[in-house]
Amino acid sequence: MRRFLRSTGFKIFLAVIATLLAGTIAAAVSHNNSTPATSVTSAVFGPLQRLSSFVSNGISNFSVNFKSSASLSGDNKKLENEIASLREQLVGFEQAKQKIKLYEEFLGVKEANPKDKFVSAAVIGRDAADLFHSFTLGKGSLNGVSVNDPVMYGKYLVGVVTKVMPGQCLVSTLLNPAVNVSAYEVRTREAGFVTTTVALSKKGLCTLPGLVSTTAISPGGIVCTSGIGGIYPRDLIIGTVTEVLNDSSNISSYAVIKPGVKIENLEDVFILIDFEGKLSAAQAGN
Amino acid sequence: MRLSRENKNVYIRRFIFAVLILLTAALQNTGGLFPEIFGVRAMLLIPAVVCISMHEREISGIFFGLFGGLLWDAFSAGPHSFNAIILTTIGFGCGALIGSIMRNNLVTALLLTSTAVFVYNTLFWFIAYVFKGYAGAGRAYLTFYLPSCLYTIALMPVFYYLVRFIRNKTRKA
Repeated sequence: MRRFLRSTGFKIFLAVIATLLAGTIAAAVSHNNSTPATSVTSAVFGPLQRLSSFVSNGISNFSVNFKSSASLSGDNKKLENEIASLREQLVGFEQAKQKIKLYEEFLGVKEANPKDKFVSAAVIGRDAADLFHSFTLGKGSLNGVSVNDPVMYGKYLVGVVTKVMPGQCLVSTLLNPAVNVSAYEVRTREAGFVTTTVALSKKGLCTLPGLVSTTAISPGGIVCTSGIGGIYPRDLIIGTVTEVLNDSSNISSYAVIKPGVKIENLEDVFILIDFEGKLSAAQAGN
Repeated sequence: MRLSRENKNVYIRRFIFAVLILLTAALQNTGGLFPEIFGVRAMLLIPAVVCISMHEREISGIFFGLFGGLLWDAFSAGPHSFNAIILTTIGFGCGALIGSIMRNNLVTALLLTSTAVFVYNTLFWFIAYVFKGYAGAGRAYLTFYLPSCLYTIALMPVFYYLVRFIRNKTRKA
């Protein structure tokens, strides 16, 4: 045992762990929430991740074409090729249509708030160990992104930036119980905060807890950000109320909310880097 | 200064292993690139680090673990440096055990990978769910982290034989 503790391997191991822990302390006091080692790694290997993300999108398109071609008759080779080519165009068209819809919605938000500053970003990675659908975007502090910047898809709120590196940032989504968004229901004007639980997150749902038992909120109601707290701007859509239930632990009620976008399937989003009434990460208490 | 043939092979082998870690990290961290089974994901970097350190021993194991951990941390929502610390420890531990008291074979690889995967997932679950007091943490462990362990362990032989193949090829070359 003594020989093991005095071995070179053990000394190197202790030195590496001590360095990593020092980096952790540095991250805790920085406003970026990321360690120096992580920042360097992401800067050096980020391009590879972008490439693999691009390949992943390519593979999913290929499988659509492959499946559709396989189902066609082998006798009509010419027609088969024509159909395959048309399908290929259709995939491109559907992707372009989706992108245009996103940009149109975004344009509406931009026209309503001309002073807001946005950065468009692509999803380049997801954490295999995270159940709450956190994702990494290919834009970071070099693009003006900072911790607590809201992330949107069209008019819909998706999440918030929680870690920033030079060329990328990590987003915690609405499906993370640690994310709390001050919100209100549009029709009744009842206010509260939107969060989620582990069980609801697994189903892709959020909740608006702490409502009075006589609440007028009903299924179909739209929940938007209220702008209180200075992290999210007012009137971004969070989602739609699917049901209102009584809380089993107290006399209040809570609304179950379905987010407006399928967070687990997002490919492109916008980061809102500046808006009227925004508080910095330090002012917001991070 | 000229490198001896043996040293040259060692450098080539380590370069190949570094590329393997890099590709594994890309495969693991890119959504849609590696299949999920009912929403359960494989944590491919763990068997990769275990198998490489089993063949390269503890000092190399530390650095391959560190490299894999840092690549994972760049995309992780978990605590700062969590992956780097755990994978460095796994790399060192597996290398040291094979160098002193265990044999290098598939059964040992299965044992070490299973231990590493369960330790990683349980620690992550404890820090990310239990310490934060989330309701339904136990259910998340049973429905996501435990199946993830099994999925990851099932893929371990691929890494074991791949690493062994690379090692044998670079030894003979």
